[in-house]
Amino acid sequence: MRIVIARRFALAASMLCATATAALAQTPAAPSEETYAQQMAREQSEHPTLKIGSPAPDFNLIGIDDKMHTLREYSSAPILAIAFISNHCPASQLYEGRIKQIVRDYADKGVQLIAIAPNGPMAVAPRELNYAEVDDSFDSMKIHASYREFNFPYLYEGDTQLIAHQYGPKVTPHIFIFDKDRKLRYEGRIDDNMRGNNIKTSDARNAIDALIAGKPVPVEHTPVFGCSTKWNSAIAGKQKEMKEWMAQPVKLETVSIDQLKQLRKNPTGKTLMINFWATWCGPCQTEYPELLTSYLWYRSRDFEFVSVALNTPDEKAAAQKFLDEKHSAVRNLIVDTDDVYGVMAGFDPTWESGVPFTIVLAPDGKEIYRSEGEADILALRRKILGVLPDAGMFAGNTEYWRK
Amino acid sequence: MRSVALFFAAVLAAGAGAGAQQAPSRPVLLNIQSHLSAERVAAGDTFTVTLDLAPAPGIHVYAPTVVDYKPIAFTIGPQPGLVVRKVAYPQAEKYVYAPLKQTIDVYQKPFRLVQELALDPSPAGRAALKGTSMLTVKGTLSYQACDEKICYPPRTVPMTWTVAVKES
Repeated sequence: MRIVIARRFALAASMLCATATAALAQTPAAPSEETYAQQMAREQSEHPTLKIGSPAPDFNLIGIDDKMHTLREYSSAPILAIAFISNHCPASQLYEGRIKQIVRDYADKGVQLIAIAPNGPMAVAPRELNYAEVDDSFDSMKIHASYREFNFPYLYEGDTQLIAHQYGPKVTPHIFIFDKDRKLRYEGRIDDNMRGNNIKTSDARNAIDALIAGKPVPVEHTPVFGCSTKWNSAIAGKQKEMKEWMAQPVKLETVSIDQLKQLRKNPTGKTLMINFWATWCGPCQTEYPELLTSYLWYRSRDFEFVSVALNTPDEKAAAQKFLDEKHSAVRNLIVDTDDVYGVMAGFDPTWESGVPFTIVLAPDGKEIYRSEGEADILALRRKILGVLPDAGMFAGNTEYWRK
Repeated sequence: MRSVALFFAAVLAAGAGAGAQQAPSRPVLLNIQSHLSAERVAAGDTFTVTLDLAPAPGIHVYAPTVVDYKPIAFTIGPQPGLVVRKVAYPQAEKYVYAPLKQTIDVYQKPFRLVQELALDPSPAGRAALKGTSMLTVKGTLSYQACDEKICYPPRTVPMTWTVAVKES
């Protein structure tokens, strides 16, 4: 999720537009491309939202339990709520707790809630994953749902999006609530405050309560806010970022132990991840792509990555070759001495073992993560996400990652 | 002929390159035992230095046949009066590193390296050994060790042996 501060006011304006829908731009368009409003309008025409009173489109989707799930499976529940959510979207993340609470509160009241992940994983650009520990792929859904202890079926539709097209979720999260005849009675937001405080109307609960009571749903449609649904038709447009990345040069800079000592204090003013690696280290090569991916995801949020090759100066060419292969277009360093143990002790006297060695430093230099040996990428990302500052729009997200 | 007890000393000091700073505590990755095959040798005599090496549990070191990793190397420095022949390395084991889909030649179990040496019988060799009663042989063992999750910096262990030289 890329929040460009300069565009916040434009986005706020778009949330008040006449279409009565609001979705947060994740990829502000270049001047020669369509505007965000144009994009949303086009997607709405291509994937219209299911109208109130319409029957629930049937589905046969795989769940994170590796079983197929159909609409018929839930036919015994008088009320069916289908929430379109995603792993990566900070707005969707902020609603997970409330969705789980709905499941708990209405479990014995005839309400079945399921979630569907509609996004095409390849249609989510790296920078849009800047609040995520995993992407929107099916395997990642299992990881995310397990970590967040989802108590509802979570189904995947990112490959074909045929069902998503029939429901037409504009954003994640976007909830659809059906009565016992499986007619759509409510669609829209879950409540009126993403941050979860000062909620004035719990729209989804109001709809469910009305249906349970046999009354008309008071408000059948509400505007939604979240991350726009990532349709696979947009994959080509999402490749621009990677093309720009691949055009950046890969440099390897020689530094002294003293310069490394300065780096240890984190002079960047940002959250800084430093990874020591070597060409003779298999685990280093294994984890490096994931570290680079983490940088690609978080770099818009005051996050830096510096790699340090623990190779000796005569091995600089081999180190450069590895960095070229990975296209490590970050700040890459190699130290100007054969004294490898001196490098280790100079950077951090408590570093006793070997490589890979990964350390994450807060802007004030405080160590917030450390791994001697191959890093647990998920634990690393969660730590990072737990210290990166929220953009005001997603206040509460940093706390979400400190679970 | 002089009869001098064999004097053997092996200095095990981990460090890579010149001017190595000693880290506070480094794990023992490779247990090293060495011995000479003879206490006293004369010009022309062949003798061996044997290293019995045992990687620590979970540790592997790389065999001489590897590419892109740092192979183990036992090296005796050249010196007048000493003929240094080839080192016999045992057959390597195959280590499958699944994350990179690599099969690598390593030593994970105890293994032995044998370096064959001889006192140089040539006129130049004899001249170099003239008046020498004890010959100090210097060598190094270089290796780099890893386990499944971590790789330790390359280490070079300087070693010395002393053998009595018989007059002949």
